[in-house]
Parts: sequence; C-alpha cells; structure tokens
Amino acid sequence: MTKSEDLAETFTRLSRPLYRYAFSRLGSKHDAEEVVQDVFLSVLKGSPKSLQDSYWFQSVHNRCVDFLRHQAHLSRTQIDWVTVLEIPSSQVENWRAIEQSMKSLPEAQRDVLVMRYLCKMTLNEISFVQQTTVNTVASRQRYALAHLRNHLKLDSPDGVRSSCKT
Amino acid sequence: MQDLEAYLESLRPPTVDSQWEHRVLEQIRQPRRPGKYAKIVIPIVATALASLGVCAAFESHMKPGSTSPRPPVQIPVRAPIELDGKSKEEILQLRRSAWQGLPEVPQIVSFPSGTQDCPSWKKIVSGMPWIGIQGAVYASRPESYAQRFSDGLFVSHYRKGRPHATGVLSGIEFLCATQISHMKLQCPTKQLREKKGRTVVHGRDQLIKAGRIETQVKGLFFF
Repeated sequence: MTKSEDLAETFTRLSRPLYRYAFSRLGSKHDAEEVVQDVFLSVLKGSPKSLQDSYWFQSVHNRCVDFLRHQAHLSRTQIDWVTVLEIPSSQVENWRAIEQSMKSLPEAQRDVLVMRYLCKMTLNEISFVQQTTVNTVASRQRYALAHLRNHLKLDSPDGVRSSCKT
Repeated sequence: MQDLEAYLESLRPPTVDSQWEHRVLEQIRQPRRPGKYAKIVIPIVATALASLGVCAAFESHMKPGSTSPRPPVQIPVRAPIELDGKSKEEILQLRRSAWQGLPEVPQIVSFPSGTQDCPSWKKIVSGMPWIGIQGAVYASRPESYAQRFSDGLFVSHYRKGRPHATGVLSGIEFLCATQISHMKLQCPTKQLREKKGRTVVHGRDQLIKAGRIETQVKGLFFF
C-alpha cells in the first residue's frame, strides 16, 4: 500500500472523529475542516512512515491550540449546540439545563463529556487527546455524569427530574 | 429526561460535510507535483553532460594558468555603483548587454575546473552545477585568487539566499569574477533588493558575515 493510499484509508477512518473534535474546540465548521485538512496534507508532504491514531488526534489538538492562539485577539465563537446537534424544540429546555450544569464541571471532565457524547468519540480516542489512560477517561466520564445527575437532582441513573422531563 | 446517559447518547453528532471529505481524499490521492522531480532530474542531466565531455573544452579554457588558444574574454563590466538610482528597466538592459558581452561562455551545466586549487572558491562552488552567468563579482584580496583568473573569465556561482541564513538556501544564483583591472571597485552602500525581479545587490559585509565568501569581495552584482 502506497503512502497516499495508506493516508486516504486513515482519513476515511478518522476524519469524522477528528473533525468533530476540532469543531468542539474551534466552534467553526470551516476552521475545523481546515485544521484537519492541514494535518493530513502536512503529513502527506513530510513524514514517510505510517502513524498511529494517537498521532492524528494529538496533531489536530495541537493545531487547534495553535489556531486559537493566533485567533486570541478575536472573541472565541460560542458553539450553539442546539443548532449543531439539531435538538428538537421540545428538548431544548432539557439541554439548556444540562449545558448549564456542565459549566460547573472541571474542564477535563467537561471535555470528556463533550467529546464522548457530543462528538461521539470513543474513550480510546479521548485518551489520545487528553494524553491519559482509558481508565482515567472512563473515571472522568463517570464523575462528570454523577455531578450532572446531582446538579440536575436526578436521584439515580434511572432517576427522573420532575422539572425536566423528556 | 429518564436517563441522563441515554439522553446524551441519543444526541446526534455534528454532521460532517461529505463534499469536504471527498475533496481532501482527492488531494491525498492525487500524484505528487512534478516540481519534486526537478531535484532529481537536474543533477542527472548535469552528470550526463559532464560524462559526455560536453564541458571539457570549456573547463580546459577555464583552468588557471592554462594556455588558452583563445584570447581572454573582455567583459563590459558594470560597476555596482552604477546601479544606484537606476530603474528596473535600465538594470535589465544592463543585464541583457552583459549577456551579449559573453558570447564565448557556453550556457551549459559544468563544474568549473578553476575551483580545484582554490579552497575559498571551492567552498562556494563545490559540487554545484552552474548553468550560466548572471552577474559579476569584484574581488580584491587575496591577489592570488584574482591572478589565477586574470587570464580569462572565471565563472563560478553563488547560492542565492538570505545573507544571514544558516544553511537553508533558497536557490542558486550565479556570478562571475572578472579581470584584475576591476578589483578596486567598491561595493555600493545602497542595497537594491527586488526578490521577484531578481535584481539584487548585496553588501560585502553581509556576505563575509554570512561566511559565504572568505575572500574580500568588494561587491556583488547579481543580474
């Protein structure tokens, strides 16, 4: 398999989680596409060896950080998840409550929730970005969910919140 | 909201533009640009020409101290100072006239044999092919260098780049050192620079500081 074929296969496999991650960081569809595209094209010009998945996630992460640093003078785009996730109007209130609760989470836990549930990334992929183990990511997810349940006054994983029913 | 986790799982992720994916895949799959091959083709052509002896006659002519059957080439030298205040069109005209003044110099790939015994010049030109003359350099010291080439035209080249660059050079530029009668010319203090127009006058100090030329180069006249 040639390098370009290898790269094409990797892009087909990882483009979506990478794009979603970049989008969650940058808040812009166009910027996220540009970042992911840049990472792949720079590898096409440079490194001849095949690369592990962790490289791609870390590269996109680094590019996003660079991008945000360069755009520091601009106000960061606030993602309107209701539009992005196409949340039905009947559930917007629930989502707003969750979103508000997520703001009280530690950053690492909040990032895990965003990547896990909004970007649909796997725990393994999140561990690449956060440069930690899968177990740590799972713990952060668990703690974050517990915090949200507590904040939303949901008694148990199957609990029902009287003021916020689906 | 019956179950928080189930609710979060049910959310749809941001959609990915399939046209964008297609475009990037096209870019990845398309063949590399032919510009990459130039780095391979040029040395191969240079080697082939050299092995065919195309440059042998010229090299023997260029050899220091050789008894050339032809008289030394007289170059209508333009002092760098003459460039001051001239427009781009006038400089280009000077360039054309300089080319016309060098009818004997073949515009082919060669390795000037005159560099063999000159460590300083060899350092500059070692291993680099030259394909023409695009300028002139006026050297003053050491005299021996000048004398070596006073019997004719010494052709060498110089890699064009930023004078303070550290090893990464942007291209190849060419120069020729001329006869001893022109060695006293001074480098103009005014430095003209047109990156795209390829009209460049570098200062002597810059070149020496950059370690490109060990000899005392008084001026460098790039066309």
